[in-house]
Amino acid sequence: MSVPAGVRTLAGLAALTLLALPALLLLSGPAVTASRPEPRAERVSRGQYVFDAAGCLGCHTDEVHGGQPLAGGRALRTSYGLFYTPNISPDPIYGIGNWSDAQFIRALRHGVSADGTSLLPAFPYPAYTLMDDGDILDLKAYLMTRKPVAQPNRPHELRDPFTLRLLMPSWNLMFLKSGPLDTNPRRSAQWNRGQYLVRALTHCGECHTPRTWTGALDESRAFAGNPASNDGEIATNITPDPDTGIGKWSEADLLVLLEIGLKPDGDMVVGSMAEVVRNTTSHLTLADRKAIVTYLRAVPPVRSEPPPAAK
Amino acid sequence: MTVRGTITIWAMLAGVALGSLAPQAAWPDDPLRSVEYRQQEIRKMASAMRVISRFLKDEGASVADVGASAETIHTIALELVRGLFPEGTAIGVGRSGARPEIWQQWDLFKEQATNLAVAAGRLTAAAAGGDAEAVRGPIRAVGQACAACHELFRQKVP
Repeated sequence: MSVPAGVRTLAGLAALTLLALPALLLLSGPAVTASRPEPRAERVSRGQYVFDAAGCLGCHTDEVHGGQPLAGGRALRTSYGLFYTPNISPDPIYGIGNWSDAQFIRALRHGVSADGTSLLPAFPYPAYTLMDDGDILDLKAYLMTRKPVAQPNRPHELRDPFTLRLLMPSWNLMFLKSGPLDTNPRRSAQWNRGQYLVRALTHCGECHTPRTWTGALDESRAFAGNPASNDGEIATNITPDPDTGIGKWSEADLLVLLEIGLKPDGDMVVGSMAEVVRNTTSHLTLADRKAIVTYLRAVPPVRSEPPPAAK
Repeated sequence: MTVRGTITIWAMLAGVALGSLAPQAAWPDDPLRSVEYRQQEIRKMASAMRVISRFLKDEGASVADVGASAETIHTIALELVRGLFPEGTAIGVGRSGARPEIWQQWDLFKEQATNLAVAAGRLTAAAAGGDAEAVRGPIRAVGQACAACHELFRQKVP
């Protein structure tokens, strides 16, 4: 995913940081008690599904350079500079092996690391915040079964890391809508499951929704495509707009794309979406792929100008 | 896998190995005509993938159609490194979308093309078994082989 782009009024926002301090104090000790009676194997199994759906592996593995799974170090090129993803293997020193359940939930729900520092939204916590506690804890149970890797985190190469970290509490206060996600009783179970998958787990909007000057998602144009997505890619319009979106795609077209990566014209998706298909959507159940399609076909159609070119 | 499937897959793998010994097709020697011929062949692969897509969507294509499409892809995949990409046919010649990295990293390109030929051979073998569920994994592998090569070596031409 991409990080906030084009923040120009850093000084103004910095002043708001003071406003956020009480909120930070509140967030420092969330009263989460995790007593889940289910057998551990079931939690781990469910956690693996959440892990795939949330796409953790791709970002937290430096696959191009032969890095070990979940040891981090993958470079994400953003307008702020290079982010290197952190180690989320269960290593107690370099990974998250010593994180408590409460700390893990706080990181995903509020974007705050175990040591209290603000995470940067190159990590898509604005989406993961919508996950429910059960899924978050199942995910943690699965991560703890992975191989620990004693690999230190590589420092980011950002233009102004200090200011960026300083701004995050204000940014969170203004733009982070903390979850979990509410169910919409007027919609079907399939639509609600789709909303949860699209908005929380698979975080489609992090690439496919354009951003405002603050770096927050522009929800008025949700899923309308982002010509300046991560790593310089063009993320396509996935609203039901018939000309610039997926309005002319059938349900079966979309299901085949999510399962195989094959487009109706016989071409394959490439780039980040190929990775999403490989690591995430191809691993989902057919019912969940159908739920995603149901939800996306029901979002408001938005015309994108100019239409992002298909990849 | 059935005996027939096993035989077919070995035949396909042998095809990859022996491809360079097979009689050469009459590839054009003019760069522009080479690009046009290449794109015609690659369009055949895209057509084959569309048939496979129709199978996945339950829109009238059978497992046997998938097998025939896989054979088409296999045949053209063998051509990729034998004559479809002569030097001097990179981006800039006609509507070529072939990145110069193809010739700079020829061994890698060759490996990717071989991966596609092998994946298409496996799909042919799986389709010969006639099981609609058994072809889904091999179809995914063919798709991934296509995408891996496009990722590195193709520039999409509008």
